[in-house]
Amino acid sequence: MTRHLLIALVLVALLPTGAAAQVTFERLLNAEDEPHNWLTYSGTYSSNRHTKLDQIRKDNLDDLELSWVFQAGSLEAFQATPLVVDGIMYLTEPVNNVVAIDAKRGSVFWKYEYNVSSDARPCCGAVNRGLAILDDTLFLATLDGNLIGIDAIAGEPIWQTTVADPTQGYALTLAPLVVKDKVIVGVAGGEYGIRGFIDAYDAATGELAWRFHTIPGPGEPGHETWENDAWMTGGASAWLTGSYDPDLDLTYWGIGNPGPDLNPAQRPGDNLYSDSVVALDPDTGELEWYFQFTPNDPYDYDSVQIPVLIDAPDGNGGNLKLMLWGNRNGFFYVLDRESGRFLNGTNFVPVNWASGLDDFGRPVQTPQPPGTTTFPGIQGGTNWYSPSYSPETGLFYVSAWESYGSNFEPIEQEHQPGRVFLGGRPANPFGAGANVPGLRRGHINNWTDAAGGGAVIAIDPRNGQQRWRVPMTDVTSSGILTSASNLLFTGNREGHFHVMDAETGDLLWRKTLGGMIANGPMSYMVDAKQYVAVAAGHSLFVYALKD
Amino acid sequence: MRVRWRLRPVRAVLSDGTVLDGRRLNEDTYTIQLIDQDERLRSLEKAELRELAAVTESPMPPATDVLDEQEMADVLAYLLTLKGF
Repeated sequence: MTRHLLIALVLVALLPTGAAAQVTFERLLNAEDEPHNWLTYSGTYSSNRHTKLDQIRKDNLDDLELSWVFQAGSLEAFQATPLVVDGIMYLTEPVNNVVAIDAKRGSVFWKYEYNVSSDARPCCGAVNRGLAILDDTLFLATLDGNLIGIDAIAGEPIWQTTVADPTQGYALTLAPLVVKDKVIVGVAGGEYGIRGFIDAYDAATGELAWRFHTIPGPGEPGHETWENDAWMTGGASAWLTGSYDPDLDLTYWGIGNPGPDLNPAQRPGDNLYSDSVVALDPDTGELEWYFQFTPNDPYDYDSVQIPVLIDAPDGNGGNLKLMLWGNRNGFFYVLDRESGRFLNGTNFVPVNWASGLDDFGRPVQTPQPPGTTTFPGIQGGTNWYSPSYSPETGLFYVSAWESYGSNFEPIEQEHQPGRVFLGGRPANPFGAGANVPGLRRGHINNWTDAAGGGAVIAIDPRNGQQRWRVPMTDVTSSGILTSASNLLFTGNREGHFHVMDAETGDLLWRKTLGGMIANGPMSYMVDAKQYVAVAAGHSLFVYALKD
Repeated sequence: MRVRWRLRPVRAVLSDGTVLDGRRLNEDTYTIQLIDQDERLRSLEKAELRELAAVTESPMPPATDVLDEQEMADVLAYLLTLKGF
């Protein structure tokens, strides 16, 4: 090697990495200012899944047509939301493969194939919800408990670190969240008697920066809400992506159910921080505040839903910093995200497990007699399906399961590491063999209205009242995207991808895609053309206006 | 007699007034698929129907309307001779 070449290589190595950086933290902070991209799982740190793009409008929806399709080489459920960075789409192909795609044409640049260990034991499907990105590195959380940094240009892994042991029931199904120079993830496994946690890793090296245990250990505040050793197997997973407020410098994460899921007698107490939202310092993982939605939950009402952050006028010339939450327990909440203070809450689906919320937002629980039906049932009034908030309409939109119930039967169960730890079972209210909504769906729907149905519900956060609702025959697992042109894009388990008027709920356009829609639609722009992407069945469908 | 809910009989009235009685095979938010009284497979757009209703009573008449007491006893006696399940 010549001396000159050596000097040149050293100089290249010493170039500031920011010079070639693809997505800086600054860009993530200001993602709203580049709506042609989709830089985080929910679009922006406020997680409102709303696009400022308005090329697709009510008056040109007839020109909306299929632009391209990506067919996954997997039959697992497709729940991922893609990222798009300057014309490149980054997508997880179920379960943990990563593909870089020409976002205009659907052509694949590279594919990183990850073989999931046979030790993985997800409770509810081998799923993944997407990626995070910082600079030129993508971050993939895997079903068998690893976090991997991947070169976004070359498609090669840069580092890999073990987050949790899959043989104990831990899994990673979420899209990570990048805040500053850290990658934040939470673990799934609430059905296996894990002790949940949220971790932050150095984005450059993959080294653990901090860990927040979602169940406080001995001597920590909140530990007194558990008795005996129940805290060691109490679940409290964190399997959906959190949000971030840069002004308050707090990151917000929803926490899952306590375990065993259905037998609260085995874990007396409020079981903090299960079924709560926690506000954490992103630099240290220290808890700033928490709010618990369902104390001592006997119904598997995970509170992992996406925290939607909005600012609203306080009437005195200032702004209230709010958090909107459509919870699996059937209630819609508005919280003060500076303090965690409860502001108001209203049920958005029929509930009978609680008669309402007290002044502090604590539910007044009304357990139903054995053998009778509790509403909502075990899958909840909503679940992982991303909600949306539109600053244009001022409405919060949630995908709901209405009038759907389960009969709960607690059973004493001893915990065995790595084994399912439910402490009971949800019984079908209509008897064994009757068709009711569940985790999955076949081609045939022959249940009656009594089994429940789906809906898109528009809620006014100012008073919790429903502005409109669009009922569906089947329940829905689809997320919701709203746009600056007052369109609402969503799907359902019947395979319909439909567009509604965000102000009225009127159906404007629909297509049948032939498979269950279980991801959140997103939008981006390449070469001055707006695209909308949605996954149905085992494929990603991308729509745009005709040329 | 109440019918099993999975075999739900339905009545659909088309926009031209045609009445279709049938049995629901599948249903989604926008469409319904059924087998009609002439055993034809029909797929209907709900928005184009004048009426769509579940029929809660079985279209099969009660046996006591068709058979007298002795005939009913004969049928039961015959059924009790069947074996092989």
